[in-house]
Amino acid sequence: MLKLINIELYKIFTQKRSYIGLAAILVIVLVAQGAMLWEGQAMHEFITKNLSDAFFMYGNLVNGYLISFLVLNFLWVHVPLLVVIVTGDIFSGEAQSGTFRLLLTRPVSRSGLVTAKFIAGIVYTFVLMIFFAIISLGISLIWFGKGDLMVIFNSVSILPEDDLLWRFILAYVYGFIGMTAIAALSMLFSAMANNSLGPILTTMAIIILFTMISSFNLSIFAAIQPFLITSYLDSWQLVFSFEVDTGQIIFDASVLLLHILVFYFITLVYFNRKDILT
Amino acid sequence: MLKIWLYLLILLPFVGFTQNDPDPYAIIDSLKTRVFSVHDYQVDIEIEVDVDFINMPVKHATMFYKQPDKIKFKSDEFIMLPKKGFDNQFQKILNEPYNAIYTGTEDISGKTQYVIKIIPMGKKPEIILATWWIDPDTYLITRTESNTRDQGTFVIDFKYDEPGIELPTEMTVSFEIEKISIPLKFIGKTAGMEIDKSKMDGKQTGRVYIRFSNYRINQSIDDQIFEEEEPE
Repeated sequence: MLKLINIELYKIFTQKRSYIGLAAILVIVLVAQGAMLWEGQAMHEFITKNLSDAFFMYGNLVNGYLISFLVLNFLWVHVPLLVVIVTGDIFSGEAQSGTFRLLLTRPVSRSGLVTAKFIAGIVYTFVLMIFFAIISLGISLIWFGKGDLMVIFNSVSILPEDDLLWRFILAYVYGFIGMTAIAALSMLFSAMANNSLGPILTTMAIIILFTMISSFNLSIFAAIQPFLITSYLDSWQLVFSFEVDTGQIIFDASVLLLHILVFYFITLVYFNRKDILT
Repeated sequence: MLKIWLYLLILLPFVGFTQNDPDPYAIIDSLKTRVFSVHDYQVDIEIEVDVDFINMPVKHATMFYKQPDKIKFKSDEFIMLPKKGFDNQFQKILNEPYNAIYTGTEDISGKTQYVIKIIPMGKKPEIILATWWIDPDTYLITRTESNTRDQGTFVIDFKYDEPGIELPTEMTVSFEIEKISIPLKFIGKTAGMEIDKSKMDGKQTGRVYIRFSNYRINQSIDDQIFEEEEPE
């Protein structure tokens, strides 16, 4: 199994497209950081204008943690698209190039192959998230320094600097689970398709549609929102509540983990029954 | 100004001008003597913000003060302090012409206090009417209520627990905070979360508790401290 995983990882990391996601994240984060370096103070004044009428405010609110927090908001919108570019091709790429026929003549079980590809896809997602964490949090802290974080949900919360690192780590871990769920969905579509583009576009279309439905606070969508994967992707933000609702976070993470397992088993069943014709 | 005179006209009949009533100007002079004996001080402060829509842990800072109106805060943390109460209101009132009216006594925490109404007579004063409760034994202010021109009313309660020190050990600022319109969508999740509009809109009453400790009084604080970066 380990050898199979290594082979799958080798395939992923020798493809040029695997680095598109890393490059895109680097550019997105650097652009965001550059913009904040340029206009961070103005943004801070914009956000706190009303508060500053009543309060003197001392201290650095435009700091590395705030930038990382803002950049993290890109996570549930853009990073899924970067993940599926690679994971959406993991099965269908081989089907398209006809290598499955050759691969499956070897003494490799189909279940083993599916598992190895899933694990390789998860490892790729992990690498992407680690890279994202290092450049968003690491570089932001180096450039902007540390400080308290102002978060505005249904109230204004000032989270103290020494209470932030664990929140960010937890947010990235949650983000990793969310991205893995998206990766698993794309791998399911990938196993069903015989061309590379189809599963990538299908997953992207589903994410965009579901995100739209999840974001609208309309009663017509309220009933279906709990059943959409995208409704749980942004729950990493709950980690930044003044009083963290651990139960809600565990529930949301469990829903995502359940999605991963369901997608994996459907892929396993489907691929074991699939006629390899290409 | 017309309002002030009208207020005076209404208030004056109720003020007993008997010879036994203490002279409000004499009381204020005693207060000034005590307060102005402090030329400068440095003190550690603990700030607790109690505003409905603001969640903030207790913060710590060091405050520097030097006469006549220099104030500086230093902290490694992000701190928020109410502008009302830290804007040298006493100096502003006492350094301008004012009318003082003794209106009697009231009990605060079981202790009788002189109550004096102050009407600043300066040019467009920010505070149009102030009420001061002054301890007749120590001549220190225990409470102030200030009606401002355009920022509502705020009340400050003072506690003095360190004998021999003319400065408070605790201060509670109660104030009105106007409608706040923070760009909600700018930071943070809103989808799936109930936004409590009542917490974000309309006039709110807030309190800030400030506890002072470790006073270092009249130690000739260097002016340079106040010249460093100003508050936003």
